[in-house]
Amino acid sequence: MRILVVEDQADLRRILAKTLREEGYAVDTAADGVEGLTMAQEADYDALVLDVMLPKLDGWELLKRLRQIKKTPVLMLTARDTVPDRIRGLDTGADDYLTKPCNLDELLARLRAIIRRSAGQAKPVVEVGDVTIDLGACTVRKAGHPVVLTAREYALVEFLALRRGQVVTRTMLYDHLLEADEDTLSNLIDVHVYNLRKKFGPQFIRTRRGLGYIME
Amino acid sequence: MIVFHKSIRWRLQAWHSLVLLIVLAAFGVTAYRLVRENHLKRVDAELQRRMTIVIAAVGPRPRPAPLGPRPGIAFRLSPEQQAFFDDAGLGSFYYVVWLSDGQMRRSSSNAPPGISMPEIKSTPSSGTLRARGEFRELTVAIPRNLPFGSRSTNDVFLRAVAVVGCSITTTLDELDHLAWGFSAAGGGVLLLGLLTGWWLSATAIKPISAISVTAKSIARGNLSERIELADTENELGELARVLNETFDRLQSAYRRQAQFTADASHELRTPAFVILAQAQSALKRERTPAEYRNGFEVCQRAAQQMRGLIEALLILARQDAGESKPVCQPCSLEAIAGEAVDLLRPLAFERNVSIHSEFKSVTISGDTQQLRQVAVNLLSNAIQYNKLGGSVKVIVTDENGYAVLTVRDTGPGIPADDLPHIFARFYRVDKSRASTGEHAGLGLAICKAIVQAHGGAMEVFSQVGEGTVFTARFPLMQTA
Repeated sequence: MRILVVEDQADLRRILAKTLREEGYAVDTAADGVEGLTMAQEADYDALVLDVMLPKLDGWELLKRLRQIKKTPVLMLTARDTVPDRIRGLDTGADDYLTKPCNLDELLARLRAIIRRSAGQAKPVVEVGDVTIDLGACTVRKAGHPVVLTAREYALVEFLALRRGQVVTRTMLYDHLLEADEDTLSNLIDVHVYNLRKKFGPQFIRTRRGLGYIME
Repeated sequence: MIVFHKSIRWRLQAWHSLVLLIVLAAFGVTAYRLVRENHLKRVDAELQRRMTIVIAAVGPRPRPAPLGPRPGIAFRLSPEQQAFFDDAGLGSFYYVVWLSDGQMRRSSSNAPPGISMPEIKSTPSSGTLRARGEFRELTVAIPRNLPFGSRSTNDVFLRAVAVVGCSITTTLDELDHLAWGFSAAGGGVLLLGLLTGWWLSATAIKPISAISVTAKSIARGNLSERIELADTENELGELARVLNETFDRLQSAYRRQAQFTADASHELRTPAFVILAQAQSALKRERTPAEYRNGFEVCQRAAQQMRGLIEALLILARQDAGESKPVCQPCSLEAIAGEAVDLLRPLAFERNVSIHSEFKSVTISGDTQQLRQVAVNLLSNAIQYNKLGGSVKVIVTDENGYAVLTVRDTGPGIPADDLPHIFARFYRVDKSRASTGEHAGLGLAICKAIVQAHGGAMEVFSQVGEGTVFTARFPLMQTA
C-alpha cells in the first residue's frame, strides 16, 4: 500500500511516515499543498493523509482539485474540530476526518478501513481456501493457525486480497509496495511471492504469465 | 418577582383612581349643594310672598274692644288671597296664626295637624325660616301697634305669631333623584377612567416587559437576542437602543473571547499531537538509544513550542484582565532597544540579516521588561520575515513629544488586505503555520497590548516587495 502524507509540521510528518512504514506501508511525504497535489495527481496512492492548514494551498482546496481527477481515499487530519469544519471536510470529498491530537492506533485503523472500503471490501476478513486474512488485525491464519509474516509480505497479501480475482501487474506491485528509493528493477517482489507460496501453498498466489499475479 | 403593591402599574392605577375619585366627589357634592340651595331659595321666596298676605290679613288696626286681658286680632282674607292657600295638593302652602298667648287664632284647612306655636325669642321682623321634617316654614312675630317691619319685637309687644309653610317632599325627592343621578354618573365616569388608566398603563408598561423578556433571554445565554421596538422616538425606545448597543458590545466581546479560546486550543493541538504521536510511536516496539534520543528531541521541541504559546497566552490574558499594569519607572528606550538588538544578533547572523541601529537618548516612563518584549518581538519578526541577506533598521528618536521606536525591514511586505488585521490575535499573513515562531501569531498582539498599556500607539506601514515599518510611540517622560 502506498500512502501520501501531506503535513507541514516537520516533526509530525517524520513521525507519521515512520509509523506508517513500520506498519508495512510505502510512504511518500509532502510539506505543502502544491507539492502534495502534484504528487497525488501523478501517482496512484492507496490513501492520502491530509492536513488542512497547509502553506501555499490548503487541504480543502487540494482535495477539491484532486477529486476532479482521482478517487484516492483521503483521511483528513486537522486541528480544527468544529462541526462545520468536519462537514466541510467530508462534503469536499474526504473519506474520513480525524482531529489532532488523535491516537496513532486509531489513525492506522481508520486508514485501513478507508483503503478496504475503497477497494470494495467492506468485510475486514478475506478467506482464500483455508487461509484467513484479517485485514483489521493485520494477521493471516492457515487452517486456524496464525502464520508469522514480515511487514512487506503482509502488505503484498493485503494488496492482492483487496483485489481478489483481478490480475495485479508487477508494476502495480512495485508502485504500491516499494519505497520510492528502492530499486524497481530488483526481483524483490518475486522473492516475497516465493516465500508466501512456501507458507500457504502454490495455489495461494497464481501467476498469469506475461500479465502478473492473481489471488482467486 | 414583582411584588403586587410595589408594581409600577398598580401604583399608577391607585393614584390615578384616587385623584379621579376626589375630583368627581368634589364636583358632585358642589353641584348637588348648588341645586339644593337654588330649590330652597325658590320655596323661600314663595313663602315670603304668602307671608305678606297673611300679615296684611292680620291687619294693622287694633281691635276696638279693649276689654279682655288679651287683645284679639282681626283676620280677614279675600277669596283671591284664600286661593293661595287651602290647596290640598302636595306642595301646597298653609298658614297658622296664633295669638301672643299661644292660642291658635286661624289656620288654613291644609295645615298639618299638631303644629305648635314656634318659640319666639328675638326674631327679625323679616321672619325666621325653619325646616321641620318634610315641611319648610316661615315664622313671623307681628308686633302690637307697631307698623310691620319697623323694628324687632319682644314678648311685651307681641300681638300675634304667623307661620306660613309648605311641604317640600317633592323637592326633597327631586334632590334625592339628583343625588342618585350624580352618583351613578360619577361611578360610570370613574369606571371609564379606571379602564382607560389600566389600558394606558398597560401600553406604557408593555415595552418594559418586552425589554425584560429579552434581557432574561440574554441572561440565559442567548446573546444574539435584541429588543425589538418599533417606536424608538420615546424614552423607552432610547433605553432599548442603549441596551441593544450594550448587548452588541457584550456579544462581540464574548465572540472575540470564544474565538480567542478556540484559536488558542487549536494552536496547542499540533504540538500536543507531536508529543503524543512521538511517544506512541516510540512505545510500539523496542528502539535503539539513538531513536529514543531523537524521539525525546522531537518531544522537547514540541513542548517548547507549547511553552512559548502558553506564556504568550498568559501575557495577553493578564493584559486583558488589567493585572499586569506596567510597573512604571524612568527607563531609557534606546538602552532597551540596544538589549533587544544584542539578544537577536545570533538569529540575524543565522538568517544572514544585518542589523543597523540609530539611537537617540530618550527617556520614557514604563516597565523595562514589557518594553523589552515589544522591542524583541518587533525585531525578531523583522529578522524572521526578512529576505535572505536583507537588513533591519532599528531607530529610537523623539518626535512631537513622543518617544518613537521604529523597526524597518526589507522583507516581502504585507499585502494591503492583511494590514488592518495584523495586530489581531492568531492572525497570520500566511494562513498556515509554515513559519513556526515562538508566538503563533500572538507577537504583534502582545506588542500592541503592551504599548497601549503604556499610553502609546502602534502603527504599521508596508509596501509589498519593499518591506515593512513598525512604529511604536510612547509619551515622553515629563522632565521636572
